[in-house]
Amino acid sequence: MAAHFIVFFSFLVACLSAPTTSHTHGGVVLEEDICLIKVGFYQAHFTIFQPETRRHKQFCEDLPDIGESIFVLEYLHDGLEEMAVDFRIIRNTTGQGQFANLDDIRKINDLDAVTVFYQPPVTEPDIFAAMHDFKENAEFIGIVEALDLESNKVYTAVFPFETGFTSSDVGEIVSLIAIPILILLWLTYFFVGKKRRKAQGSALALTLLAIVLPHNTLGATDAPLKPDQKEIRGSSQNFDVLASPRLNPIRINQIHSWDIVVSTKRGEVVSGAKIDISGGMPLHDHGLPTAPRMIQESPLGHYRVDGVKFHMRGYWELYLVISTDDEIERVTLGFNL
Amino acid sequence: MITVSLLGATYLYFSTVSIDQWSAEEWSEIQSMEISNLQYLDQSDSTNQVVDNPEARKLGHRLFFDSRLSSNGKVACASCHNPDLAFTDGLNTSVATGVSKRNAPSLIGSSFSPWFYWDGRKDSLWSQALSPLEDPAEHAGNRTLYAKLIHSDELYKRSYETIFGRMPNLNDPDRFPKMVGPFNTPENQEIWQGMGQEDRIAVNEVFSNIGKVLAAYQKILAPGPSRFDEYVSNYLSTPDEPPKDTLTPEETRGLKLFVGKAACTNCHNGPLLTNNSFHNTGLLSPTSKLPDVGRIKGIRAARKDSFNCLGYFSDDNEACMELLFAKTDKANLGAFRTPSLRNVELTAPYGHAGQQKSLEEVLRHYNEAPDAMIGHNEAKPLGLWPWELAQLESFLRALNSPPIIDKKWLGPPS
Repeated sequence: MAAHFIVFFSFLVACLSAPTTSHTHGGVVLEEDICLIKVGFYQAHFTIFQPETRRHKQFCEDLPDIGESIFVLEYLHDGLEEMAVDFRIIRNTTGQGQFANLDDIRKINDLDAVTVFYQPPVTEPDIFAAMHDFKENAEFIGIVEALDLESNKVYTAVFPFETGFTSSDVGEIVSLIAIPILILLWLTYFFVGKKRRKAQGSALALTLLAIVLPHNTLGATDAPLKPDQKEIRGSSQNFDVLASPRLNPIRINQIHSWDIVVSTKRGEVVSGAKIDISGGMPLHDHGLPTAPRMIQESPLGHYRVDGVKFHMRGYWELYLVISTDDEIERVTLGFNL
Repeated sequence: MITVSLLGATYLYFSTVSIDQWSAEEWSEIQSMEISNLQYLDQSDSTNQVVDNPEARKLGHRLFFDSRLSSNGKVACASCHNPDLAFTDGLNTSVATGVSKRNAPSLIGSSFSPWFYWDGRKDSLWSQALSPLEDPAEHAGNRTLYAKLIHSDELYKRSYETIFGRMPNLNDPDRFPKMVGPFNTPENQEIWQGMGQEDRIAVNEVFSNIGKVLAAYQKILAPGPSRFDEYVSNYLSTPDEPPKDTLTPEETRGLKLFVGKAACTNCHNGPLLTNNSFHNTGLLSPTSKLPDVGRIKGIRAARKDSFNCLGYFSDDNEACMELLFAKTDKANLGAFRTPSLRNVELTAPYGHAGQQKSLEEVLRHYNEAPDAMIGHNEAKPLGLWPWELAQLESFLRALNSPPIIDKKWLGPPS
């Protein structure tokens, strides 16, 4: 019963939260629930906002309203960050509607004559954003061009879209009609075939449970760090670690250093190792607010890590990846602040 | 109708019954927010050797209220940091010689932060103080103008020389040519590059010292106890008989949500109710403005800044751990510094561009935690009821924490 409900509920949620874009064409492709644009080999997350009328709602292609629209391109590949990217919006005069592609654009003799918006090339390391105030409901084509300054190659993505397009509204109406039908179907399914699917349902419920369970923190030392506790111990297959913060007791929001002593299981110090350090709060799904690094080894087997900071109270873990000539092992240090 | 009545009744009920029992976990969090914990925060700034110098504090106070520190003679620091509004200006984004891009933050308690500006593009209070002076939209002047002002004003010059020693002779127009308007105009850059290196350093020295005395003044603007802090200390002194007067029942309920269900202390923690860290909370960009990338650009600017902790004008190049170990990754996209909630009632509007007019609007936003325009909103929907939002808001209004200092510091010097 529970499993059936989970399946049904998940399906409902999926129906309701499906992205508003219903077509995949041009340069924008839908992958799971995000909008990706492919510029040559490069991918970027592409979204359009109409904050004045639709607040935080994201659109991939077709826009429900006219008015101020903000196009945001977040680069998913490093390459685009170094390229000069420009963005043009033209009226869709190709006659191909939503199936217009790059070849259709190339056939247009005077691109400037049909251009309603043009943002000249900029090299932006983080995101590309542009704004245009649409005055009419019509068909348009967005053209993103990225110039690789080294090879002088131009990569282009083309995506036709409409303003005043109500596919999202249609989608909502469809959802509204679909939900009662789905409920009926599910009730029929549940009462008619109840006996046969019991075993399958249980297995499914277990699988779903396994997915939602928090990740395994085996090996973490989860004892709370008491105000007077000066060191934390951790271990991996071949190493024992003794870690002590130089700020004691540790206070949140204060950057500080740690001393880490690495030894073998026989108690000999391990010298010449490299320690990569990271950390976070597994229950809050975020990392450290800083990027700490190992600074020096002095004396042998004693490593200093600078730049550690915790920005809230609660359960934290530090992850040390200790590399020597023979081993690469990870040690988790867990503690409460 | 029935629903409305029920909601109303529930609200009334829950607003009149005080919380008087706290779990160990709640109480531990509440105590850590109490004002006396300020003593454990690091307010020392070894990059500014005059930060605790009384004469520097006095000169900084004078400069803070002096509108001659601007190209048009009309803008002082106090123009946008009004003491009556907890050193903010009540505007979405500040209006000085032009319109700035961001909201003027409160200065109360700012000296405890390792980062300054909404995007953390400055790593010390003294270095931060220099930027508005040369920003075309703020004071719109230049370092030579300000150095010459100190040099020509007898009182300033005497005070400056008491603190830093003899000033260079800035009267020589060949060595120190006059510059008009913001420092970064092409004309001023040409003049600047035409000056001798030693003279440029001499001007920069005076300029950075102006920042250092302004920081010395701002350091005394630490928050005092609020009604919330009185509640905590009363509770500690008489745990068996919870204090009735310091927080209303509605406010205690707001406090319970603050440290619990509403998860405010994930970011608004410690005695300043901020972790001074950077978070993307998915605010919309203001009308006709592109989204602001925030910290991702801020940290790059801080690292390139010639007045940063590692620079020539810093008094301690060894105390730069924050700058050296700051995160520079994509998580910084659209992230802004958590503001302190002390005095939050006085500092409307809210958000890096003043996008949110009221506390009610802020709380509704966090309750929803909608998608961010750029990057990812770190907040999760809270699922709070309307009356819970009202309780939280009441609690936030109990956080007025005016500095406990002589009134003379909170207005122009006589």
